[in-house]
Amino acid sequence: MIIPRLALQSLRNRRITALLTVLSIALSVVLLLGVEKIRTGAKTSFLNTIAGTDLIIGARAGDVQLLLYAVFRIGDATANITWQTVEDIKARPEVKWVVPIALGDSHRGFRVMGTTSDYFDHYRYRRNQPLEFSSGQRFDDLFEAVIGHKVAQELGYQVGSEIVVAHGSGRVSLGADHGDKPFRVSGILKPTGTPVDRTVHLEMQAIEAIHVGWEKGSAPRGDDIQSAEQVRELDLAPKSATALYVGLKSRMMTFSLQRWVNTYPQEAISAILPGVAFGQLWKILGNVEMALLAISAMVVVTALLGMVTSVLGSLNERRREMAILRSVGARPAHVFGLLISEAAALVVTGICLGVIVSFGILYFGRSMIEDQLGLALELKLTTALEAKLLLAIFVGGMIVSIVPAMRAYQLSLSDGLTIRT
Amino acid sequence: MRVAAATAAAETDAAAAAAVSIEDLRFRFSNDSHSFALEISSLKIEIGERVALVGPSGSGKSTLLGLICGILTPSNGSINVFGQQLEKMSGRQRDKFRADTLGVIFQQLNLLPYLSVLDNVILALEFSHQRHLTASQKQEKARYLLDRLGLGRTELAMQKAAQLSVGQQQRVAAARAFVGAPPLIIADEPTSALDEDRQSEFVDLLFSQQQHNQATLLMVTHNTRLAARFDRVLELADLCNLDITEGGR
Repeated sequence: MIIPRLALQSLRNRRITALLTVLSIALSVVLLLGVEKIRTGAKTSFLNTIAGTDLIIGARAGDVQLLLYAVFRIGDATANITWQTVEDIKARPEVKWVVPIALGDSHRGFRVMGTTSDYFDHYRYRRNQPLEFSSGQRFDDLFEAVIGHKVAQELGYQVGSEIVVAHGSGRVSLGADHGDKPFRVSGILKPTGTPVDRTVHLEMQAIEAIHVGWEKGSAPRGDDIQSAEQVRELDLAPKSATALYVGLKSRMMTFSLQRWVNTYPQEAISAILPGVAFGQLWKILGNVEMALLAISAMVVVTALLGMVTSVLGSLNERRREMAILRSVGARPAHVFGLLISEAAALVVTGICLGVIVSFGILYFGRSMIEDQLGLALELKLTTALEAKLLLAIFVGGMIVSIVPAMRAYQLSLSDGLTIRT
Repeated sequence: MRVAAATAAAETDAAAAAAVSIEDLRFRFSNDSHSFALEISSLKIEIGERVALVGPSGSGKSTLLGLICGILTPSNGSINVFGQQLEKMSGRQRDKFRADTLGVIFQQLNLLPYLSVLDNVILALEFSHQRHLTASQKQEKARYLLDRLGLGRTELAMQKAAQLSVGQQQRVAAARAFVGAPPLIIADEPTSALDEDRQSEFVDLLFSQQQHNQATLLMVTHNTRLAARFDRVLELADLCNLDITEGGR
């Protein structure tokens, strides 16, 4: 036990260098664990953007494309689904509920989505959480809107604020807006970390209402213009939907309904299983997560190389120490062991400190991260994968420390009791 | 054949009776014929003898000590220390032999600066056959010796070695060399960093400990006045056929 004891005392003697080395290893561990936790959290959050929905149905397109516009509000649908089709799907015996959505308009860069009040009952995200209101309530009137957390935060809206919807999904409305039919914010949703946060929700009928007179594709003129009060009197039953979120009575029925939808003769529509489509999309994004992990691994390697440099740099000053050890009977292997023990102490302390700091950040910052970024991070000291990464750091540290240990070994052999320069 | 065997046995017995016995030693630092070489045809140091080794700088005194310590291995010849033939031992056996048989004192910087005085002394026990003693037994031995050398005060024993004066450090080094009661003490110019008065005091201390332990003492020195106090003075130049092409050995 003399060698580990000497190693600790020697490190204590060089405490500033040792402390800096430990800190650099600890910081690299914090970074690596942080990236890993965020990566896992992001993946979990991403894969759980939508939960409780068994099928998403839209105009026939690729699975990923349908997922992108129906869930992430990215891009546009190739076509809409007619309301007759919606009714046919609702009538299917497998179907428990259907929530239609209508996309196409925007408000100051945020997508506007028409839906029904059922959306707030059936939409689930991460760990099957329902949508909750931070203030206000669901839309009750035709010209009321429910906005996501980010919309309210970035635009400074509160319940009662007025919203004008722009025609089209562009950030700039180019004058084509529905300014004659403003909406009032009736509720603001709590943060979810999903695209819901960046969405302005209107009633399906409201989408119809603001487009009265727009049948030719441009803003109505002259007699075509109808006021908000006038449109209330019209039949605003939706004529189409962009996509449908569908809940089934039993998961066992998923594939039979999917097959029915994909072979529906009246219209070219397709149904996707959200989980499968999310998996496909994550594979595309997977390179980014690997790049992040690779960057943090490089930081760890740099920290370990820093440790080796510092130990190698101190070797020349320590040749007398080795000669003393040799004179009292220490073998070159003891000198080798001393250097390895010092490296092990530095790496283990750095890893432990890194784990404690990252757990502390996670413990105290978890709720803030969830609120601000919508990332649900798991409160665990280390996961199995993280433990493997930490073990890899330790093994890596031991491998690189063989370099100064071998150098010390060789010096102790050549120097013996006399330092030769 | 019988005569040759009898002669070899007699030589071994003679070597066993001596503390150090060197025959036909030849050592060179590398295969390069221009590199430093040391050749000694015969050297014998008796058990309990106090020998001063003198010679100019670079004459090979430290090299000879390295060979006797088993740190360096000769190209030819034999080195017997208390009957043990060093050149026939493995590196590991030589390290163990050194831990059990030798106490070494250097010129200066003898101590590990990050250890306390007490731990520096105990260090000599950690690699020898006495490493199995309990921590308190080791401490007891070290404290006893420090007491004898006037370093027994608790606060001094617990001080870091780096905080001591050079004179104190040399005394601690002596304590470390003697703590395991090794039969051979090797000192490589241990007084060179001390002033004249301290040199004499230090040699007194070495002699008293050497007598107390009945050890053999081999000390390198440049000081002829100090050397004169030893039982025997060995001039390295008289011992060997030197080929010095590099200095500072």
